[in-house]
Amino acid sequence: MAAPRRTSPRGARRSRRASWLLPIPGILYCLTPVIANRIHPMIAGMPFIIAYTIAVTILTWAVIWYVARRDPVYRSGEDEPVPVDRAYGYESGEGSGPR
Amino acid sequence: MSGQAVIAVTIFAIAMVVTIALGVLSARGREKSMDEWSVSGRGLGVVFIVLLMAGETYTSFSFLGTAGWSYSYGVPILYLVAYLNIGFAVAYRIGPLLWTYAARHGLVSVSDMAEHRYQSRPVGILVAVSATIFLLPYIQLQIQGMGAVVHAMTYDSVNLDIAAIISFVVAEAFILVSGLRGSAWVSVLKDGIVILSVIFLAIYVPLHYFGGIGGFVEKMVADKPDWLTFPGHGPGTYGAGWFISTIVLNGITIVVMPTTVAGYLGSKNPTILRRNSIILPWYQLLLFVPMIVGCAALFVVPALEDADLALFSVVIDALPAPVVALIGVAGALSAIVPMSVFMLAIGTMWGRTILRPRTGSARVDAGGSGSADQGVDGRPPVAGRRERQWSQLVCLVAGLAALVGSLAVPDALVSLSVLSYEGLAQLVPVLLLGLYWPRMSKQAATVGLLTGSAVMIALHFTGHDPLWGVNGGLYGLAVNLIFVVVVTMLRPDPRYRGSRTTSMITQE
Repeated sequence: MAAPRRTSPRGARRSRRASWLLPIPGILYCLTPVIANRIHPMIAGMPFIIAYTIAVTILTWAVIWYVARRDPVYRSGEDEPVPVDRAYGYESGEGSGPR
Repeated sequence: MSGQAVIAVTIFAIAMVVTIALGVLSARGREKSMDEWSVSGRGLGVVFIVLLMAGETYTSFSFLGTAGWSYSYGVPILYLVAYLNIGFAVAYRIGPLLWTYAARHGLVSVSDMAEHRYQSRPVGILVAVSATIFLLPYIQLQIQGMGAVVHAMTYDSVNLDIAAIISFVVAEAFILVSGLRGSAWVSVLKDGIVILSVIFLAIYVPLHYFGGIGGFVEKMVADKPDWLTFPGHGPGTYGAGWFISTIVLNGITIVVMPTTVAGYLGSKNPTILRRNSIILPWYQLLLFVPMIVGCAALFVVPALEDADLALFSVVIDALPAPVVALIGVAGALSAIVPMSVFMLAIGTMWGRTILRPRTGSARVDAGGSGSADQGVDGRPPVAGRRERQWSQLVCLVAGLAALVGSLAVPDALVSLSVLSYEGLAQLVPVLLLGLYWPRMSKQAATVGLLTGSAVMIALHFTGHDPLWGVNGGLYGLAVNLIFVVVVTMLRPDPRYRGSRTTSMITQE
């Protein structure tokens, strides 16, 4: 069994700002019926609305990939900080230590 | 039986035997503990997690419903791609969060997590029961989906009921023996066949009927423009408001679905889940293929009685028996894999949270390292074995209930399945907000879950879903959240009550 690891709260707060980009694909999907609800102009032989959805789908990958690249927690493979655990004293901030 | 049917039945039979063998053998040499059965001992690597999660998103709905919706309505089906991908963006942070919480405290299911978070077995039981109510229709939907697929692919020679029974037997055979690991292994077979058949269909169907994808698109644009803009063909139920509210609600809900969480908890570490979120958006591009085939059916089989059979009608019209059978196997496995995980999730919730014998406050596994399940000398303690047996029993009973439902009252539960996501959405505050908001109390979680579910059910059964074009589940969730916030603020912050803090620290 994989032993759960300590999280470093300090490390976690090290700029995970890129996470704020994560809602972008959702917002673009929500805009589909508003700004992309049309057949013309056709793009790459596809009706506009289909081309738009495919583009947003690929963008979803790009956004999550970029967020991960900028995310110190992703790069170090740390546990995700759990606010309720920190509040009740489970995340003591001893640092992540060697794996 | 015609020659074609013999070929199809033979290929199908071989595939089912291979599935059972693969699923059952996957657990060889593994210990017989609750953790191993329910979450693969938290030992799955990135390949298995990606294939398992892909396997859970690509269900028999993808073959039947996706093509059927495209055939009946057109672009509203894009909601499927949209919410699954919103789910992956949400899961980038939430998957590892749930994993960390569960691994740290040795928890195996959403109800187990709720019980631990609120230090209250009744809250855990409430979550387990509510999740079971909304998951059972989903199992039945998969069983009936498999019935339809097998009936069609064998040129109507295997009866719907027999196909339903086969799907039940195959899924139970490996899930009971191997648990989540069995599903992960069968996913490998399933995803392989699905990817092959879908890519083949994407190229072959437009070429065969329209001289290429260009010809197909031209014909759609010229003859069926209604299908290509919102609210799609038909009465216009699925407009912009419905689309936006549904993808938001489903995109958030899918990350706390007991079945998704079962997959998360099987992961070896949290970064595997983060990588899973990066990889899987690409997989959703495959969903465009059943959409294309569903629309092609508008020209190939214009007067279809059951729109869900759009894809298989085209496949049978266009292709020889062995290929039909292979695509049928892809469809059948797409029912079996998610179904097995649904049954496992229900079994795990009941075995651990509801049927676990009262042993005072001492939980089998509440230790901080999560290793108590292994017991002395690496053997699971009696209590852990019993939990696993209860879980397996409930896993069997849940499948049986869904099977009986699909044979006896095929329409009753399926009409409920449209409520599944709306109902499971009501678990978002108790499971997710609770992890972010230390102050949130068990009373608040309970009141929120009950009122939210009541609002959502009332809207549905009084015919007000969607209300003003917005998904009824979203109103339920709004009421749910209001109650959670109000009730929590009415009570003192539990962090400053000595007793609770002490008890949690003693457990660690």
